[in-house]
Amino acid sequence: MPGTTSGMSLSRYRVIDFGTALAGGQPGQMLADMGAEVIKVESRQHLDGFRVGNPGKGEANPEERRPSFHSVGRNKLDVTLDITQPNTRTLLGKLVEKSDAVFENFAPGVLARSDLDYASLRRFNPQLVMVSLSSAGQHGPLSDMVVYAPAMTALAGVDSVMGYGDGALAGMRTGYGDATAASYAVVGLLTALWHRNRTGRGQHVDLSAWEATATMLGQAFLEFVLTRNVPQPRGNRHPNMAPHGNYRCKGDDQWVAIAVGSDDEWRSLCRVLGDPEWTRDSRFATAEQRVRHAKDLDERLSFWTSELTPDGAAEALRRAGVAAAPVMSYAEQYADPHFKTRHVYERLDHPLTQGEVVYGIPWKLSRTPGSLRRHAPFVGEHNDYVFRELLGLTPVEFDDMVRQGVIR
Amino acid sequence: MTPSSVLAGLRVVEYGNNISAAFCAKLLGDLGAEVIKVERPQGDESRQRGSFPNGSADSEKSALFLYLNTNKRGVTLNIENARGRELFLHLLERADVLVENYAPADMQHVGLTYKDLQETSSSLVVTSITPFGQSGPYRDYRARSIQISAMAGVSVMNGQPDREPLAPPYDLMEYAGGLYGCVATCFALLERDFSGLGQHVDVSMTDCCAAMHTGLYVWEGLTGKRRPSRSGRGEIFPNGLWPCKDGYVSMIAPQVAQWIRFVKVMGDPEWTKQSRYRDRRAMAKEYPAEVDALLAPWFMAHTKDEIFAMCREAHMPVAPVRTIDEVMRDEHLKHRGFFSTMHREDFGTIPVPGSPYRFSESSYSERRPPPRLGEHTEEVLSGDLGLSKDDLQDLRRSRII
Repeated sequence: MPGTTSGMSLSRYRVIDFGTALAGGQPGQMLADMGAEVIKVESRQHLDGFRVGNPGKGEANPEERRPSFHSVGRNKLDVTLDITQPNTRTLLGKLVEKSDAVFENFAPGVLARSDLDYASLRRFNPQLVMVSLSSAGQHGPLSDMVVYAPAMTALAGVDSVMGYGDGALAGMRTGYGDATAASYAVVGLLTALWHRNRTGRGQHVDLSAWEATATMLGQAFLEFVLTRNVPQPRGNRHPNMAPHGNYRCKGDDQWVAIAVGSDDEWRSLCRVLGDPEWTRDSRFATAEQRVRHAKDLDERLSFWTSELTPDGAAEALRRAGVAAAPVMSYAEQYADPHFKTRHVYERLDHPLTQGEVVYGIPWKLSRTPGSLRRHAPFVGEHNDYVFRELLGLTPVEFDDMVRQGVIR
Repeated sequence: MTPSSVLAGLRVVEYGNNISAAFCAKLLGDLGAEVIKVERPQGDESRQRGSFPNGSADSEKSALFLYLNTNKRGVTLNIENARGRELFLHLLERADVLVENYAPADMQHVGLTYKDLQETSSSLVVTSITPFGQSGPYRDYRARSIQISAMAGVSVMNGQPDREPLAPPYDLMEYAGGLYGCVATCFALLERDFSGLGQHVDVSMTDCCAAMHTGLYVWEGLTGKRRPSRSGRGEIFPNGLWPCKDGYVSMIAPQVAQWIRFVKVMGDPEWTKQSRYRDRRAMAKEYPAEVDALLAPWFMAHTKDEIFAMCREAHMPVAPVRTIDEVMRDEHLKHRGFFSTMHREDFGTIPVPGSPYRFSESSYSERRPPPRLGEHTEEVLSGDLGLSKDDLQDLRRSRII
């Protein structure tokens, strides 16, 4: 296999990856980072949606230039197969025989139309584990729904509790549903493999991104069940903590996030502020009262933060044991000493774009940490390795598959 | 043969407080692992956080605690005491995984660093979920969901441009931390199937959220090709939430064909024919409010379900913004049986979000309701560890349990 993965968490596992875009790309990326041999299957007719679009437009091979694809494609191998060709099934079946798992995020029913659904593929490998990720699951009245990531937080109720608390909703505009669904896909796949390792039985896992997103908001559902009040947005305020918010700092659009829970933390905050008179106001004496008078508290605390930089305010507070952090964007994140020390962003050169930075492996396993060992693959880069070396096709057989339009 | 749970036979000890470790252990427990939750004698703080039935505080009926602690047995143990610590180590000898979320300094203080634990059991997987992980300059700093969101680059992108950045509500980033902890734990478990060895799984919630939520845009951000914005509008119109007759809909249409279909759904209004309303990048960046005003009459004339149905038929990616009660009544989720039930004598039977996946060979069930404080202390210490009644009496007298 290209590149060695011996001694990694998943070095003995091979996964066939039909995943596309972000929620469909990240599962394979996580598995590949940890050493699995992940073989991405796409076709020149239907490239991964993450390969196309800006930037890259107007240059040669735009599909090989997109930085976001370079992040989720790293460590994967890439083959080109047209799943709509009748003979693709035989060739794919040979690969399934030699694999542990399949991951896919096609619209429900697409694989079944090509006779490539779980029931069909497991005939090649009865121990096969397969995870199907879709927006609403494989079955149910809305399973044919065609939506993008923002729909997940809308349907799951997250958007309905995200706003400034003034009647208008802001909704969640960063892909919380994608990262959540991708992570659940990995848990589903790995736990099914754990089960297979004990019982010898493979299985199919039907994962709904909508439901995955809803599980993250369990507290809000139980709040409604127990109180019968429908949860509403409350800006950055918190039911148990005050102050709790993003406070304006010196400069344009500069903010510091501060959260005070316990009385100890409150006293630490007061000390950092120099124990001004107002902090002794009885309205701020207990956590419950601080929550009740959060608006007054926020105004007073903003006077203090508005004279400081986000870094200055955060550093003073967190050293004193108060939860505080600058509101960061890309440049601040990349420069942050914590993220640097922990390799949250790493350089990963790609032949077409030098010096590129991708996100690293965020969890640290002490013995088998995984690695970023190769750049995102070119389209069909590993057709030779997979079809000739791994599956043993002769040059004549290989050419025949190309002629039939199976490998393309 | 009735299908067994997918993680049947996995033994997990949770030493957690509040959200991240509890959520990680719940995910494992819901999949069939036997989870023992070890609480300090005063109990997990999430027992005090609510919401409570009728608004009156009851540490056994906190919504946050109840959600996070299904499928666990609960034990109280004072680990700062030598005998308590010894019992804790006995529990770990019989476990496959420890999930904890105390600050590294706190674990060191009670003599339970990974090095200490490794000596007890070389096959134990120890998952530590903390705001900043086990190394680096911030390792012992406090952070909560709002700080994680701030450093992950999530807050700066949410809310309105002229107002403060908006962090996700309901401590969502700490739930994410628990989920990433579960992912990383699974990697270690699969590796252990071959090596027989455990390891330390160091999960920084901030690092994970930064990597997984915004990490793939950092290079474009550093090279100036992408600027974070709180406009909520994205690059191409439409992308965002729009108010309608009875709430909001979420709409995004990156492909021009989708927008054309949507215009048709609206009945091809005259204004859409002007060139000013064909440049969707300019519509998103230069005059979105103007386009909103033109869209408003149509949106305000329809309910979110009407808009959802019309757009679904036209293959236009629109979704209704469901309120919490609406999600619980949703016909599709009912059909799939997503909401499960939780039963305990003191609160009866209540619905609770269930599992997002259906395993074809393995069952999912709420096998146990969340434990009352110390509910299984005796059962675990005498049943699992073989302590006598007198031993338990002693432990109780010296306030170790």
